[in-house]
Amino acid sequence: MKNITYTVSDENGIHARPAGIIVKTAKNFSSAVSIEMKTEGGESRIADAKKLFAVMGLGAKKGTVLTVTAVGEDENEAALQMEDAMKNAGL
Amino acid sequence: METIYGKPAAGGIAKGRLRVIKHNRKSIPDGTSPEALSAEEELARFSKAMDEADAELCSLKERASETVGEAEAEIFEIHRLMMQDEDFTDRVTDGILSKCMSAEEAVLRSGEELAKVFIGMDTEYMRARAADIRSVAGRLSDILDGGDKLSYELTEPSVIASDDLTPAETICLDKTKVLGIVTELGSDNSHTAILARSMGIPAVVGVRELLPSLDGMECILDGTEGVLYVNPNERAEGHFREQSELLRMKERKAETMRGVRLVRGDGQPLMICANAAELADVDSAVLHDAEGVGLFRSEFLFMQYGRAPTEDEQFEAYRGAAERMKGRECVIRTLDAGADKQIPYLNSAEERNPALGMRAIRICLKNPELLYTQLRALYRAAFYGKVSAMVPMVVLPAEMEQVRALAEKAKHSLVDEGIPIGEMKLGMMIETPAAAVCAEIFAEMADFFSIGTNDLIQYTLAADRENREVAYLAEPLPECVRRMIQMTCRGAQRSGIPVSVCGELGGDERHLGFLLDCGVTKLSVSAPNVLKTRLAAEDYLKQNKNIE
Repeated sequence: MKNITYTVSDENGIHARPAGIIVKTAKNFSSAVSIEMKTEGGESRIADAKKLFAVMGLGAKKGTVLTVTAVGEDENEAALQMEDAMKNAGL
Repeated sequence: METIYGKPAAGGIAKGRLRVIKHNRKSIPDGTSPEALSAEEELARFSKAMDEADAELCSLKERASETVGEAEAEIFEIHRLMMQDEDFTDRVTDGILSKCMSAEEAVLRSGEELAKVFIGMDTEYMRARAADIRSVAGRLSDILDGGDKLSYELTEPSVIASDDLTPAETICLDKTKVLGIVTELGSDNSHTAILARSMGIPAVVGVRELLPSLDGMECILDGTEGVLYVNPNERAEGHFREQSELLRMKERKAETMRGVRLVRGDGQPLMICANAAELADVDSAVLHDAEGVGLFRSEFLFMQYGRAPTEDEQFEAYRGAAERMKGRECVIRTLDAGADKQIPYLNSAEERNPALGMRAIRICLKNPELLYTQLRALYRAAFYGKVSAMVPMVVLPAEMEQVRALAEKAKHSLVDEGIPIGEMKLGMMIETPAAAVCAEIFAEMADFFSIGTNDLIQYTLAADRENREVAYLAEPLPECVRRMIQMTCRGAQRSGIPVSVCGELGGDERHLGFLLDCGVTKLSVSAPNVLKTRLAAEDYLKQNKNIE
């Protein structure tokens, strides 16, 4: 299991384009990849990073702290790539 | 009254009902849909529809990024991801397998369920995404319903307004009922504009978003000024009456040109011909007294079956065209696919710059069987009428040499097989600086030149003709383009071959004099413009006794 945390800096939160990039990246790996976050109201949400609607459905906004968890053979690589992808997407 | 401004794309004025038809959601069938086929069959239909939708979205994305911008093009990529997402596909599959739904119903219901996810979110942006998944579901549903994407009923002649019309959709329009076209996307040189001109109806492109609430309202479309008046007031009505009368007068005057044949100052005939994209256009050309078809685009044959057409299929079409011409020349352009005319089965690599990539003659020389088959079909058709062939996008003499060699081979193979063929001239399009600058060299390898001004202008200026941001560079016609045309004509003269113009410039009265002075002996315009072009040319010739 490998975790990384990431704070959303994009004004628009996880909008369609970065969501698409997240999903495309996560799908490259055999590991299960999930994204967890807490809403402003304290509610916990978790989404399968390989599913577009789930990722967008998180409704993560600017300032939200995301915890990306990868579990599997390539979990290290996956976690790293996810972080890179989110940075490059300007998220 | 609402006044909507855009870019004039095809001149004329029309009044009628406005129909706003966009690529949108359809209403969910209420369960009493026609019996679903077996689950396996519905799954297969769904899978096939996804493939088709994917191809459409790719094509839309490409067009959008060329005409409007990356940001707008991005939305189609999002649509693709949504469509491929397991949450969507799983729901559809489940609907089909466990709930005995037809593919259409499963698709629309799944789209609606997912749309609800977005609607419940707390940002405007996210709520707007509901429209995206509905659009995806709608697109799939339309494909499943069989063919015409824009499934709509035109009960009366109407002005069609849409976000965009793909080449396939423009082909599917019921031409007898369309009075005019308005689109949000597109430039005045997009296929929408070219289609409208060939239909002789007004068109306006690049308008701001058209609201569905405008659907069904009376409107006046002024394609010359680039304005759409919805619920026109008295002044607009007056404007319409005035302009219509003016147009009618022009038409009456142009009618006097029917049967008239022009001669240049140097004694050479000046032929006014028409461009065609399908067989119906050939009929239109004859109807409008065109002296020939100066450009017959063959792409429709390659787009209609979802696979390459056989030699016989091509032969039937070319022969049909030749026979309809009744002795007049029909110049058929060999396959010009790629760039904005994507043909799915021909394209392998994702190109970052399709306009500057593997297209037209390059595809044909990479897959010579393709061109060989087309040439054979053309030679066979030449037996039944006056058929000439021309090759697009040639930039190097070596390419033309290869084409000539292939043509010889095709010709001899037919002779050997005892299949009747006819004489066929083989010409070349001048569409790039590469061709214009070396026109002298090319003139020794081609039987004639045909200047494709749309492309020549954009490649000379390095400015995309479908990009409204840089369209200003081409207007007024810059000196560099004039020199390209002059070079082309001089090169042609040296070898004594004729030059024609088949791009939109040929129909532009402002440049008629210039072209004639250069030595152009044939202008090929959209059929409805043949007579008025002949009128303008006659005027010029009379005034200038145009001498070489």
